Amino acid sequence: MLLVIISYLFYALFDVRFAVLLAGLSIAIYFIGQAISNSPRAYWLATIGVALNLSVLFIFKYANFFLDSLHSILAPSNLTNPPVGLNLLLPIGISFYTFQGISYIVGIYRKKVLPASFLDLMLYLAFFPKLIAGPFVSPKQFFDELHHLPGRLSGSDQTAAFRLLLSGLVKKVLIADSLASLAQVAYRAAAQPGHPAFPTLLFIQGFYLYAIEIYADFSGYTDLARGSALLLGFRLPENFRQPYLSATPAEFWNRWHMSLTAWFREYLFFPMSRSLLTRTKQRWSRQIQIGVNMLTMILIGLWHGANWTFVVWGAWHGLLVSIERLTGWKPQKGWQTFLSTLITFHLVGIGWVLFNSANFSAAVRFFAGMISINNLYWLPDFLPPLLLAGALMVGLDLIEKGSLHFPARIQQVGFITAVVVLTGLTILAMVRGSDVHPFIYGNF
Amino acid sequence: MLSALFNLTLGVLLGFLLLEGVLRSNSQLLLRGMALPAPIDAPISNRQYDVYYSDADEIFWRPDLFHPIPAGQNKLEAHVDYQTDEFGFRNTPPIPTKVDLVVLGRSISLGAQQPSPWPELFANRMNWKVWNLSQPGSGMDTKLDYLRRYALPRRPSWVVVEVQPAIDISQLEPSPSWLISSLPVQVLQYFLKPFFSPASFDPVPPIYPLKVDLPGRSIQLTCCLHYLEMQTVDAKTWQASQDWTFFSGYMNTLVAEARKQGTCVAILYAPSKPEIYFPLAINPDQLKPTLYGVVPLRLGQDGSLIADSEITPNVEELQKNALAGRNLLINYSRQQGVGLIDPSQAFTQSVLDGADPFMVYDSHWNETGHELVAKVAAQFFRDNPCR
Repeated sequence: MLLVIISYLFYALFDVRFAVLLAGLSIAIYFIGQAISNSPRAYWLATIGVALNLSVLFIFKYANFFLDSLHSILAPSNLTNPPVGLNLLLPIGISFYTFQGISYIVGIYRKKVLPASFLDLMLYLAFFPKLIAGPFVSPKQFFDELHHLPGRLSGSDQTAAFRLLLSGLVKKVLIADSLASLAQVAYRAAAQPGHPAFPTLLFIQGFYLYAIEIYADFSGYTDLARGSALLLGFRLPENFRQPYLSATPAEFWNRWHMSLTAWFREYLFFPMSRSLLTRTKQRWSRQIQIGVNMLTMILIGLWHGANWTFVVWGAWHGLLVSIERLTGWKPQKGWQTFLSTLITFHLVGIGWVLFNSANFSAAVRFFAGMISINNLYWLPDFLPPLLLAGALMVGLDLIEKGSLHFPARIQQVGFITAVVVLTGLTILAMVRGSDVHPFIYGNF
Repeated sequence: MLSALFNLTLGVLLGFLLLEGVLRSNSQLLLRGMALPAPIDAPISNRQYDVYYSDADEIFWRPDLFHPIPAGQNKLEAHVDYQTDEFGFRNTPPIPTKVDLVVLGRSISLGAQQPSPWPELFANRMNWKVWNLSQPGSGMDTKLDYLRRYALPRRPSWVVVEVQPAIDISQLEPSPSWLISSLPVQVLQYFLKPFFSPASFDPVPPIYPLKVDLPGRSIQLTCCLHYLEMQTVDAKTWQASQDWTFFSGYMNTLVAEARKQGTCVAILYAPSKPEIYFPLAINPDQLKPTLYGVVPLRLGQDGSLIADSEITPNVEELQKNALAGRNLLINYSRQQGVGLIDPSQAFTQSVLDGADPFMVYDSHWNETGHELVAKVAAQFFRDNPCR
């Protein structure tokens, strides 16, 4: 009960209306969930439940996007009554809790989850560590954790929790906000209309720094979510596993935002593939796999944001994975893996340019800027933040992976170093004024 | 215990080192007033702010010297809207490939509190490509650093160095080598300022704005204490001081490095309010209240300028020393063969004509001041082509 109240208070701090919407949706999901169990109309009730969640998401997040797109298609035909847009605030975290709502309803329908009590369900949807930006948790796992909370946190769990919190702060405050945020300069440059001749290195720096920024920001947030959840006795799933060490695009999606990939795999890719394969009697299995894969990736792109750049970003990844599947590419030797990892990183980076650009023109200008030859002598100005952010991120990744082990003494020194830097940056931010970057994924 | 202490010390040192590295990598994290390795405004951004009388820098530093401004009289003095370039300097991006003129200045040439600073007006007037590398608090060492890092790679025809004698040739201390060393002062100022101000230690009655009679008109004068203190120093004392040695050393290096590349150098003398208004005051007694809180400077044995409360400041001396800094620059420019852009006559004439070139409560130039400087600079470059 207390956790539910705290979670709702936390959410209400952003906007009370958000909390009201979530509460209303939770009530509807609760009653649908109760009704599904042992009902002859379970399929239709589940469909209504899924549709309800998707509708809420669509109305708040995508309605204006589709209306604007429709308007731009109809505009040349001089329609006198263009569709009117909705003036709705986008509730923070809506992309996460609506999908969690779908997980719950489908779980009950598939008889993998028993209908939960109202408070348990409210907590599942609103649990504050994961409310804003995940990770996604299966309802079964969450309710199991909830009903088996330890009375007292073990020493090792406390240490692990504080380690996650510190790691999250270092990634978010030091790497994402203080160093890698310089990536945005390149995107602002690309957003300038016309073809202004900005330095090539500005865009090259932006290309690599944004890859670091989004990774540090999102994985930092996840660490904070997991650390704070662990302090309360909950083990939220890992969401990142050194994604930039992926040797292929498909492997990247097994290491990046793993809970989202798992969700789409569980609730879209597998059911749709199976259904189509059954209907076609396995005749076009490869085409179906690729087609469903493309659709899944496009929807993953759309899930990230209501803009055609996100859709194309998703399609880009769908294309990469499809090519990988078609060619059956799998690096065998060490140097192949290394080269493949390097190429994969850059292919993912190309996607990030689409992901973060305001529109396609800006993305094209960004790429054009990268391959132009302009003012290369500015290298000493553009290199330091990239090297520092990159080194810190690689170091943290190696520590998380377990490739780097340090004795307790070095760990203590590292802890103090991190605290000093974070304190310094926090004081600077406080004195400089409010300039904290919102979590990138918090906008979803 | 020793081991824990060692770990703590090492951790703290490494933390400071890492913090220093982060601040050097991204100057946007810095506070204004800290050492500036680079501009702190975000690159390629749009900035906007409004300036009211009550926002003035003079009021910020010594609010106790000013009568409260009635709400109805607190006018909007300027609306400032500007862009920053790829490095955060105040220029419309992108930086041109070939630049005719680079300006190395402080907040005045930056265009603090003004929508159109003189470099922009000059560029429009002359159709030159001007790159403004001015930053608030940019001392001679920073200007030299900017020359090397930013200006010279662009191979400009001219470099103009803004010199405000009261600040650029006074109590000059090179920027600290470590950025984090200036952090404690800034932070303490931020937290203690609401509770302590100079008035807490040295209370003076409010005196500004002060009515001063000039030939043909009267003005409401406001002055910054620091400029008045520097005006207690005559040219001879100034030239004998370490401050001048520091300044001329940096200036010589700057000129030599620019010339090595074929770039011509000119100094822009940036007059302050008391330097222009004090000599024009008909009745010196009207200026006496400005001496509240002014501690005259004298030459110490080691060549530094020392504040000496035993000396009583007097208005006549301040009037006499008004152009001491300017005269030093005239001599320097003649000796070194460096051009001098001197708007003091234009400023004086403008004041006598009833158009003040300074902001009302602030120490910076206003629109008139920047226009005058742009005009004088244009005339200078027409008369002195770079060979």
